Parts: sequence; C-alpha cells; structure tokens
Amino acid sequence: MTDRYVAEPDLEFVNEVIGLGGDSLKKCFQCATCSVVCPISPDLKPFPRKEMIAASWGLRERLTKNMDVWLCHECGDCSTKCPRGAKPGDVLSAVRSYAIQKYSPLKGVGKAVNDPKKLPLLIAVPAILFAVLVFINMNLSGMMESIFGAIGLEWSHAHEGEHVIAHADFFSTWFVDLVFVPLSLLVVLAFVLGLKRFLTDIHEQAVADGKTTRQKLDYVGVLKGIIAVIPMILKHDKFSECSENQDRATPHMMVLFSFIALFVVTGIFFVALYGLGLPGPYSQLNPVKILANVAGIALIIGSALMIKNRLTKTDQSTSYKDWYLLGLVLGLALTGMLSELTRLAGAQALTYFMYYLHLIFIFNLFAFLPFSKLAHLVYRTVALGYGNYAGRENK
Amino acid sequence: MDKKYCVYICTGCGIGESLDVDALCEVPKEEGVSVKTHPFLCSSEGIDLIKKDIADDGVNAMCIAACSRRVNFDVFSFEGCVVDRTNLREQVVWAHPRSEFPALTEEEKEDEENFDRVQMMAEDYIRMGMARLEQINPPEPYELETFTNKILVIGGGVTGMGAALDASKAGYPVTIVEKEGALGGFAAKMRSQMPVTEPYDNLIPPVVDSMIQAVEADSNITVKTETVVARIAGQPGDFTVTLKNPGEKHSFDVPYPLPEEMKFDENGKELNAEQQFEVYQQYNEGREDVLTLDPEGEKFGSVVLAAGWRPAKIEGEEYTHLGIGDSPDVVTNTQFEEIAKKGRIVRPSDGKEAKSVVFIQSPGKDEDDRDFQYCGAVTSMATLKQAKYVRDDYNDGKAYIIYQHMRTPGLAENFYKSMQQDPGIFMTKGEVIKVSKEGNGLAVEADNTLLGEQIKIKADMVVLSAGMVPETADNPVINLAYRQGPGFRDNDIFDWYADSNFICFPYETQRTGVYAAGTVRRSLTIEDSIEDATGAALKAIQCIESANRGVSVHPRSGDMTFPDFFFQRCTQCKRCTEECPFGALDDDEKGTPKPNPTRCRRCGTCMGACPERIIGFADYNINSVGSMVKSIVVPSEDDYDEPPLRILALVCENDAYPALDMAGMNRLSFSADVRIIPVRCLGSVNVIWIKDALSQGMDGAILLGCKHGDDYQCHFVKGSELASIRMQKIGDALSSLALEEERVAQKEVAIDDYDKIPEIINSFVEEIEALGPNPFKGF
Amino acid sequence: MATDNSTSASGSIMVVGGGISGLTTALEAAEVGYEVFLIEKAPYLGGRVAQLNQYFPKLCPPTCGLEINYRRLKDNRKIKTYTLANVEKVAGEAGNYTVTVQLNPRFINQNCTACGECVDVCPVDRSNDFNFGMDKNKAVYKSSEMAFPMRYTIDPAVCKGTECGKCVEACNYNAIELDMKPKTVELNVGSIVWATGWEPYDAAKIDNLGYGVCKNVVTNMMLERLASPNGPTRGKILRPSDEKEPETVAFVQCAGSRDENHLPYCSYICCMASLKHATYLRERYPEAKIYIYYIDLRTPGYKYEKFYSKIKEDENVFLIKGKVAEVRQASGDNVTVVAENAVTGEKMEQTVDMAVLATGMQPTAANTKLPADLKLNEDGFIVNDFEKGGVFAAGCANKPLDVVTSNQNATGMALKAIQTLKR
Repeated sequence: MTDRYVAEPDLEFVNEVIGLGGDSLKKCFQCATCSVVCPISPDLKPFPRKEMIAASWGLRERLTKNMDVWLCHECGDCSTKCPRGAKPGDVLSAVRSYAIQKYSPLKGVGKAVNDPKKLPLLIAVPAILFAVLVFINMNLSGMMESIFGAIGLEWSHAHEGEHVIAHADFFSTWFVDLVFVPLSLLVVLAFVLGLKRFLTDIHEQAVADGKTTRQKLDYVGVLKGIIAVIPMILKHDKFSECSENQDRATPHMMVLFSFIALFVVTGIFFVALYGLGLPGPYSQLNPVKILANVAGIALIIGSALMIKNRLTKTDQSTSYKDWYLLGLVLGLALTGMLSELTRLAGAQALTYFMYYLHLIFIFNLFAFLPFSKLAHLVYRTVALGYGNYAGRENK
Repeated sequence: MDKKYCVYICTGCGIGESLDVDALCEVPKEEGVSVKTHPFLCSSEGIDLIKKDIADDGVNAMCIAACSRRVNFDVFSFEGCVVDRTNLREQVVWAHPRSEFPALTEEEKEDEENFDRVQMMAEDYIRMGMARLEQINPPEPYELETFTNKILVIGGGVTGMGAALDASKAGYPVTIVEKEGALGGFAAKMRSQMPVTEPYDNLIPPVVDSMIQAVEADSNITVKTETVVARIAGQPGDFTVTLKNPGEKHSFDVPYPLPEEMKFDENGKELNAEQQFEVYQQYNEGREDVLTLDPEGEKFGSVVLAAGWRPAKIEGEEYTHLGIGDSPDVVTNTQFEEIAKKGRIVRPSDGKEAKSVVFIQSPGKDEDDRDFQYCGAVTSMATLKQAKYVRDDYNDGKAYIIYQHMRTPGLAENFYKSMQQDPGIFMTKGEVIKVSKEGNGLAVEADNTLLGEQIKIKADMVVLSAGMVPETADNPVINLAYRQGPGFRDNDIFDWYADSNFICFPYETQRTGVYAAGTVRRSLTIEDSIEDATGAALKAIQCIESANRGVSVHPRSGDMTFPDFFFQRCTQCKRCTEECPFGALDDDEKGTPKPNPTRCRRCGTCMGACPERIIGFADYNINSVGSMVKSIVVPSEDDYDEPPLRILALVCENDAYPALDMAGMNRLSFSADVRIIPVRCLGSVNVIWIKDALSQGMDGAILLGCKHGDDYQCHFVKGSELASIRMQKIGDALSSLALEEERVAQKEVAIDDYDKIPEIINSFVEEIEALGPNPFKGF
Repeated sequence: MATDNSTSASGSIMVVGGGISGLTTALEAAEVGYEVFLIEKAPYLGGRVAQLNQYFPKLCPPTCGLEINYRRLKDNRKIKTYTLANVEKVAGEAGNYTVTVQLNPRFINQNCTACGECVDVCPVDRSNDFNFGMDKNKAVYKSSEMAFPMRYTIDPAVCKGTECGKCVEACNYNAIELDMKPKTVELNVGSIVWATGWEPYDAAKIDNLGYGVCKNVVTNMMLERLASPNGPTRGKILRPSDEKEPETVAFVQCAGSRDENHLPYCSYICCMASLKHATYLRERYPEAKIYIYYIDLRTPGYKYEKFYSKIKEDENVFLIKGKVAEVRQASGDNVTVVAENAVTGEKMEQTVDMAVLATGMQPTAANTKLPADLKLNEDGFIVNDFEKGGVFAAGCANKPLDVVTSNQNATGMALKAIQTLKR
C-alpha cells in the first residue's frame, strides 16, 4: 500500500507545542467529548479530537496544514468538559502560534516574538531607532530643512496660529511616515509570502482529508470567501456561540473595532496632511478626532478586560505569547491617550516622552504583526474565507 | 430413636380463616397422633406450648403445620428433636385464596359429590409431614479416623507463595511444591511490575523477591522445588499425597479411567465389573490402583492449586498477517519481557537498540475487535508497562500501542492515565492489517485508526500481546486418585481454566478440598493473583475445619448428614460412582462403591441414581420421600364421580421451592391438585418415587429444578442435568405400565420465576387433564 | 476421634455491611468456626445485588445466590446479624476492639409473620427507594419478596406514628411497636472488615447528559429495577414518561466514570452491565435497536469476551466508539444523544425512545465518614494495610469490582481478619 499515511511522531514538535501552552496534549484519551461540545465544529471530521491525537503523536504537518486549527476560537468549552483534564483549546492555540512562526518568512523574528528572553531586544530596536531620530529632530532640524529644501519639500509641518505643543516638533511626521510606511509594505509582503504557502498547504490537506470537494485551489474563489465571512467576523458570531467564555466576545470586539477605527483615522490624517496640507494637532471637536479618542478609550477598556478575563480564567492557560500581545495593545492604547492628555495639559516633556513610548509600542505591533499572535487577524480571516470557499461550514 | 409425635397446627396468617381446622385435626387423630392448634404458633406462647410438650410428654417428633420453613427457621428448632415444617401458609392458603377456590357451603358438605380442593391439599400435607417424621432421624456427624490440618500448595509462584504465607499466618502448616528449581514462577522473570497504589506514575520492582524471602523465613512453610504431584488420594482432611520429581516414573503415578470404548469386548458386549477392572489394570500398567494408598505418602488436609500459566503460542493461519515467524523481531509480550529483564531492549535479529517498538493488542483482521486468546485486562496493562520499558531505556525511544479496547478496569485506569503522559508513548485504537519487513526494520499497517483510515508505522520491533494459557489446559496437575479421573471435570466450558461456574461462590469446583487460585483460574495481574490466593487459602482452611467437625462444606455448609450405604444389597452397577458430581465415590475391583464422606457435598445424587435404593441420609432418604408420596390420598371414582387429579411435584429446595413461596406471597395461585415435595436437588430424585406415585394412581409427576447446560445454575453442578436424563429414561418404564410418557416432565425454574411458576404448573396439569386420569386409580 | 484442636477458633470478627461482599466475608469466616457480627445499616441484607435482575455473564438471578447465603446464615449460629445498625465508634486496637453500634428502631418486633395485613391499612405512601423512586410503597414495607430478614419495617421519616396507629390495630400478632426506641450495644471484636460497598454516582451531577432534565433518561441501576420481576414495572421495561415499550435505546458509557470532573477511575462493571442490559431489551423486544456509545469496551477475560462476541452478532445492537457528550430532549418525550464516531470522524445525533446512563460506582466512604482509623484514597476507597492488620476493606469498599471478584476479595478478607485474631 503506497497511499498509507506514515505516522512519524516528531518529539521536538510535541515539546514545542507544550512550550507554547499546549502542555496538556498528552492527557487526551480520545473519548471525543471535545468534538461534541464544541459549538462551532462541523459534523464531518469535527475538531478538536483528531487534532488532539495528531498533537500527542507529534504529527507536525497534519496540524500546521490543518485549516480546522484556525476555525477554533478558543472558547474553552472543550477544555472544561474534557474528562481527562486535557485542554484542546489551549493546544490548538499553541499549534496556531507554531503555524504563524512556520509561515512567517523570517523564522528568527518569529522565534523571538514567542520568547520572553528576547523581549528587551524587541524593545531596544525601535527605542534606539527613535532615539536617534528624536535627536536629529531636536538638534539638527536646520540640516533637515536644507535637505528637504533641496528636494523642494517643506520639512516642518508647522501649524499656523499661536504656539501649541505639537508632537511633530518633537518627532517629525516625516520620520513617522518614513518609518511606518515602508514598514507596513514589508509587513504586507511578509503576509503575502506566508499566506501563499499557507493557502496551498491547507488546501492540500483539506483535499487529503476529504474536507472539500474542490480539487484545484482558486484564489479568486478564496477571496470571495473572505469577503463573505467578513461580516460574520465583525459580528463575532462564532464567539457568541460558545457557552464557556461568552464574556470574551465584547472585549475582542472593542479591540478589533478600535484598531479598525484608528487605522481609518490615521488614513484620513495622512491625506489631510499630505493632500490638503493641514498639519495637526487638530481640534478636539473635529469629528475624526472624536472618533480617534473614542477608539483610543475603547481600546484601553477592551484590552484591560481581556487581561482581566485571562487572569480570572482557570480552565484556560495563558502563556507568554498571549501576555506579549495583550501587553502591547494595552500599552499602545494607554501611551496614545496619555500623550494626548499630557499634550493638552501642556506638560511638554512628559507628553513627548509618552509619545516616544507610544511609537515604540506601535513599532512592535506593526513590525512583528506577521510573527506575533496578532497575525491570527490575517490567518484566521483567510482560513475562515477558505473554509467558506471549500464548503466547510458547521451545523 | 423412639419417637413421640405431635402435630401443631398454626391458625394464624389466614390459615384458620381459610381452612376447616377441626377437620384438619382429624387427620392426625385418625393416626392416633396427638394434635394441637395455636392462633400464633411462632409467638413465645406458641413455642412454650411446644417446649412444654417436649418436657412433659417427651414429644420429640413434631409436625409444624404453619408457614414455610424458610421463615421462622430459628424459632422452630428444638434440641434432639426431628421437625417437619408443613407449609400451609405460603403454598396452601396464600397460593389458593378462597376467592378463587371457594370453601364448601354447608349444603355442599352434606352432598358427597363435592370436595374442597384446598382443604384436601392441607390434609395431604399434614399426612405427608407425619409420614416423613417416621422416616427421619437426627443426624450424627461423620468422623474421620485420621485427620491433618496441613495444606498442600501446588505451584511456587506469587499465587502459591501468597496462599502459603496467608495460611501459615493463620496457623496452618503448608508445603509448597514447585516443579521448577526455584520459587518465583513468572513474576521472577519480570523486569518490573505495574504500580498498584498512588502515585501510579512509575513501575515498581516485582514483589516476588520479598515474598520468596518471607516464605523461606517462615518455619511453618516447607518448600519442595523440582517436585510435582504424582497423585492425591483419599479425601479432604485425610489426603495421602505422593510427590515426585518432574518426569520421574512412579508406581503411584495416578491411574486414568478406562476410555468408553475399552469397556466392551470385541462383540461390543459390555464387560462386567471384574473384567473391566482387569482391562483397566493393563491400561494403567505399572500404576497402583486408586484405592491403594501410598505408604510413603504425605498427609494433607486440603489443596490449593496455583499451577499458574504459560505463554500462549501465536501461530497458524489467523496470525500470519502479524509476521510472527517471518522476522525474529516480531515477538510475544513474554519474549519481550525476557529481553527487558536481560538489560536494555535490543532487537533479537541484530542486537541493535530497539528504539521504536509497536505493541499490538488485538490480532485485528476480519474487523474483529477481540483480543488474543487467553488474554484479559492483564495483557493491556502488561503492554503499558512494556511500553514504559522502551522509554526508560531510551530518551528518544518511541513506543506505539495499537489497541482495540484499552483494558485497564477499576483503579488500573490511573496507571493508563499516567502512562499516557509519557511524550514518547503513542496510542491509537486500530485494526492491524499487516506486519512486514521494510528496510532493515519492520512496518506495521493498521486500518480504522483514530489517526485515519489507513496508517503505517515504522518499527525496530513488534510485540504481540499473547495470552496466558492455564497449566490445566492439557495437564490435570492435581492428579487426583479418583475413580472419575485425575483432573477437574468439564473444564472445557471454562476454556480449560480451572475456574468456577459460580458468580456467588467463585471458589467452588467439582472437587471438594481442592481450590484453584491465580492465573490457573483466569488471566490475572500479580496483585490480583495474590488476592485470589488469600481466598483460596481461606477455603482450604475452611474445608479442613469442616472435615474435622464432620460437617459438609458449601452449599450445604454445616450439614451433619452424609450418605449411608446398605452394601449387602449393592449390585455393583457403579451408577453412584459415575454420577456423583464431586467424584466422592471410588468403586473397588468388584464395583462396590467406597464412600469418601468429606469429598461429599450431600446433594443426594447417588441416592437418586441408585436403582437398588440402598443410599440415604439420616433426615432425607428414599423412604422419607417415598412415604410422603404414599401418604397422598388419591381419590378415585369410588369416592367421587369426577375425582380431582393428583399430581406429584418434586421441587428443588434451593431455587424452585423459594420461587413457589414467593408465588404464594404474591397470592399467585396454581392448581390445588398438585402435591409439592421439596428435594435437596433434582439429582437426588429417585425414579421409584415417580413409579410409586403413578402406580398408586396419581396422574402425573413434574420436576421443578435449575437450569442446566454450560452455564448451569444447579448448586450441585449436575443434579438437574442428571435428573433430566433419568426422566427421559423413565419413559420406557412408563410405557411398560401402559402409561403415556407425557405424564412425567421436568421444567427449569429460576428462583425469580415465581411469576411464571403458576403457568408452568397449570399448563402441565392441563396436559394431564387432556391425557385423562391414570387408569390405575382405585386399584 | 483423632481431631486436632490446635486451630480451634476463638475470637470474634465484625463485618460492616450486609451486601454480597459482607455476607461472603461473614459466612466464610463463620464457617471456619469464628464468631461473627454482621452489621447492616439498612433494614434488610443483600445490598446492591438485591436490586439487580441478573448477573453477567451467566444471566442468572442474584436472588439465587442470596437465598443460599441466607440459608447458610440461618443454619449458622456463629453469626449474629444486626440490621438497621450503624457503627458509632471504634475503640481499641487490632485484636481487641470495642465497637459501639447503634440499633435503630424497626418499629416491628420478632412477632412479625410477614403476613402483610399492616400494609393493606397503612395510609401513607413513600417513594420506594429500593426502586430508585420509580414507584411508591407504604410507610410499612419490605424491600422485596426475598427480603431478609423476612419481616416488615416502618420508615419513621414518613410514618404518622401513634396518632395514626392503623397498622397496630390491623396486626393480629402485636408485632408493631410505634414507640420503639434506638438502642446501643457494645461489641468486642478482634478485627473488623468494612464491606460498606458503593452507591451509584449521582447522575444529576453530570450536567450535559440530561438526567433529571429529560424524563426518559434513566441510569443503569434504574434499568435493573425496571427489568426485575419484582420491580416497579414487574419486569417489563417501559420508559418512564409514558410507559411506552422502547423501540430504540441508547447506552451512554462512562457516564461520570473515567472523568476527572466526576469519578476519575473506571467503575469496572458498566460495560458488561450495558451489554447485559442489551440482552434484557432484546429478549423483551425482538425489534428493539440498541446503540452503545463507549470509549473502550472493557470486557476482559475469556468469559466476558465470549459474552461480548455474542452481543456483537446481534445486528440490532450498534456499538459506537465515541463518548456521548450531549443529551437533549427531542420531540415526543424522545431523547437525542450526540457523539463523534472517533473511527469514522463523524459527529452523529441519534434520537431514541430512551437513554440509559451507565453511571459508575462511588464508594460509600466517599460520602459518609466511617468512624474508624482507615486510610482512604482520594476517591474514598479504603486502602488495605495488611501489615497493620485489624481493620480491612472488602469488595467495592476497597476498589471497583464485579460481583465475582468482590466475592473472591471478600473471601480473602475473611482470612485476613482471622489472621489478626491469631497473632
């Protein structure tokens, strides 16, 4: 028989998954309670029972190429009902982190993001970069003006009217954009590379497992699928189906929507600045500004709630990868709001410092997006989209 | 004994309301037997009344006509008296309510043609009770001339040593015989043992070593290695045992019974007793007869059989797909244990480290999920244990277990759970399809696994979970010098384990005084075997003590009666010897039976078998029942135009009789023309009773007894089965009397069939009605 | 007569619990010749097995063995039996214990002839605990026709007492004493065997299996009563909601067992019990379809394997590897069970007339503190310490077991108890 699946356990993989929070994977004795209690698992080849045995057998390929891993929203129903004390929710989450590492182009970064020891480094990189730029901004603005003048650009986004504190005076908007615009391009590139392999893999596996009838992978179809599932994602339908941690839906929604809002805000201001030549800071009455503030506050509350949930949950274990991300989001939101408040309060030194920290958080979030847990934003969306395309829907 | 009779009729519990007690009292009076009634006989006043009669008038034989003997058992028992409990309550009054069986009105009484079935029934029962009293005597226990309390333990494994240590702790001297050169058995060949207490996470060193030390330190235990049993002769409390070296030819090697075909001459004529004995002696050339006792023999009181197991061979057609034989690296669990005991696990083929081992729990194939033959939970646990060996030997070792059902019942589940935790142990349910050589290793292919429909695993070694074959599979081991043969009988129904058929009485076998324990009974873990040994030791001790007191062991525990033979009339037909379920009788060269009372369980099968009716017990014999039958009044046409039928029911006292009582309690009624006589066991039913009944004009006879067949419920193993054979044979006798065979029947009744019993009885009565009355009536 | 009296029995043994294990230990010890006190907290002996319809794998009635054991008890003057008795206190050490036993009133004295007149006049109904509350009996009752001792008893919890007293008038034998008071006795024994047995795990605690929510979800022990000729339905198996003869029945294995949220261990008997229940149903209803959902089928050993393979041949019995994790009410009092067939990887919903939860056994000691110096494991099973001696656990007080193994274990414990007397 050639078409037999050769089961070759990979002990290293087992240990890595354990390290990423899947420490209960060996407890499973395959009673299949989890597949039944899972509110969002499909009837044909339901998860996570088969994922659990694959994990305990250390079958790396089976899991990383498995779209079902991404259908799981870690609601924890399976973990509470498991008769053996295994936590399929956590195991799958660990497998997801492993998969993100696997598909992200720069393995080194991927590892670093999931490794507490590397945290100082991840902070140092942007800290130093921005420190240098601040130095230039404060002391060598003359030089910068001449350089910009030479290419016919206005260095200073100076704002009319009486003197107000503007973060631009501390850290030029040019620098901001010169750092983050290319960075985002890199991020996009990283995702494109990752997703290409990701899609091919999950499709191949889905075909092998007979989860889909479609033989050939058609990207347009997948794209249509993605568009189709977006409303569901925004509405957080999957979350609300789960009985164990219902309370997770709201905070997650807050955070997601805040990010979207802030993304929009940044876009508008970008246009305002370069298109209409209207530099900030803008009036607090400006509707866009209001949106920004609301989003900022929502982000703080949302992320704070998430942290609280994780601290109180016992049936769900939280590993470094989760804390790193939650820390970033909360830090990002807080420093953002604080830098604004201190600015309005007229505390110049303080507000500049806050802004500096804020930039570091943003950098971490952005630069490491394809490598950190936050990448689920993209991978899960694509997986759900693919699922829609492949016709893998639950009851 | 000289008997002073008195009948006591209780009128309580509805007896008085339902029956004409004065008329009832006439029955004993006619016989000149004094009779007394009491409204509440089981009350202290009632008992005092009886005690007073014992004291004043020397009454010593009383017929208590009241409730079933199953109630107030302790109330109606009087030192030195014989008592009959005539069951008027459950089986007369309650089972025949006046609503269905109306009493006669005054006018009807005047009219000769009418009769009161229930009253007739009660009167018959009192007659029967009185008749029985005349025939029974208080028992005196059988006393052995010589007696020993030494216990023989066959087998020096953990079971044997456990039994020896436990018996010795209770003060009984023990001898262990072990065929090998040293104690320990299979447990001594193991690397480790599975844990039996929390925490279950690590294997423990086998307990066998400490047991060996304890046995050697125990002055009360004698160990004889390289020794086997040549024969065990005699009876519990007084066994004469010949021991010998394995393989040694000994004049006291046990003789085997003559095979059926050799009992006939060339013309197919059956040889007589003497001739058969000659052939038998030639057949057992060089072996003393069972009745010759070895003068050098050692005396023992009882025996514990702990001969243990040997690994099952996995061979033949149905296992070819498992590659056993094709590759030396496919081994059984026992072979694997040997390898593990030697040191690190290496492949037999090339001595290379075996870092990847697949354990196969079930043969697979044909979608059958059964385990290998002679397996049990123990094989699942052994597999988990051996998987752990692989991990203990190699950090990067991988152990795979393909099971159909992981069998770790009870607290052993904890062991399974902790073995699961090992990152290098991989398990799945699955059906093994093929084991084949691949490269310089092996490949195992399995279907319908939890990992998918078809998988394949590469391995250095494959281990098959073979079962544990009991030593008794092809060797009697105990070598009893019994006429019926040297081993346990009918063990084929237990796959040749020396197991018991009884769930409630797991140590009861067909051989009194010999108790099997450990893996000779069932596949068991070390822990379970040791536990089982303790029970067997208790039974061995109990048997010795019972023999010493001259009383029976289970199920008639404490019964002081035993079969008494009137040899002058014996015709050497050997039926008693052949039919005794417990092989209690050994006939001599002439065929005259030699009773061995302490082997006997007092079922009375011999009494039922004996055509000469020379066997009986003090309180239960041919006449005690026979006279009851004869005392039943059989009305004929001389008495009434339409005389009622009379049907005899011989009922097993263990199950059918209680069922009848319960029918009564539930007021479930049945024909009032049936007369019920309890018997110890249907095996004790002698056809003469039925012949007498029919020849005195009774219309039919029904036997109610236990289920027989492979999962028989007869407490005496063969009683109900033998009865059914006799009832088939009685047919001829009936036709010689020109009676229909259908007049005699045997029905199986379980104790909880009380709701079915009326139907069973009534439908038989209807059949008899259809046949019409017995033509002998009135002769 | 040449008898050896060096081993003449002296000393007494107490056996706590009159179920099959306790009876066995008591009888086996007494038949060696020792004095035995048998203590039973219920009004009758027999314990759990008295509630069973048949034993696996022989499918024989437990009352058969009980009858023999009761007879052995009757015939053996060495055993003193106390029913309605509770061990209050155990003082002293191995070889010499003083045990305080409280004897609760039966309100019925030895005059009782079990004639049953009292029942006919009793005005009070009580939920029949012997039948797990599936029917009612009177405040004066006996557990079954086979009850031992064969005497009625009165449930003080529901009896109206002297103010009613109808039974007292009805009884012709002055057997009823409504003012009977509890007594205490002190007994001296050398060793004590705890055969306190097990209780069915409370199925209501398993919140996802519908017990107490769906009317037609019953436990395996309830099914035993339904199948028993002396049960609430006289041996017809009818579903509780509407007394309909079930045409489809699902068995949920490991209902509470092998589950850290409930009983972490395997209860040993449930697999064989459910297979046995399949035979009950198939015998009564030739058309009935049976679905058994399991994790592993634990039918080890030649006898059980044979029994199992017989069931396998029945094409109306479906065995599915996968644990039922959801049971919900369906239309028409029916019940829907949900499980994943772990071999085919399909989540399947099966709607049946009736679902049976194979609930496991929990040691009595898990819920009741025994007044003695006993070592319990974390699940409440009594751990035997043979070195220490004196007190022992037999049968399911010691570990989950089937009847035959309980009896082996209990027989052995008789010897352990005797050993203590010997040293």
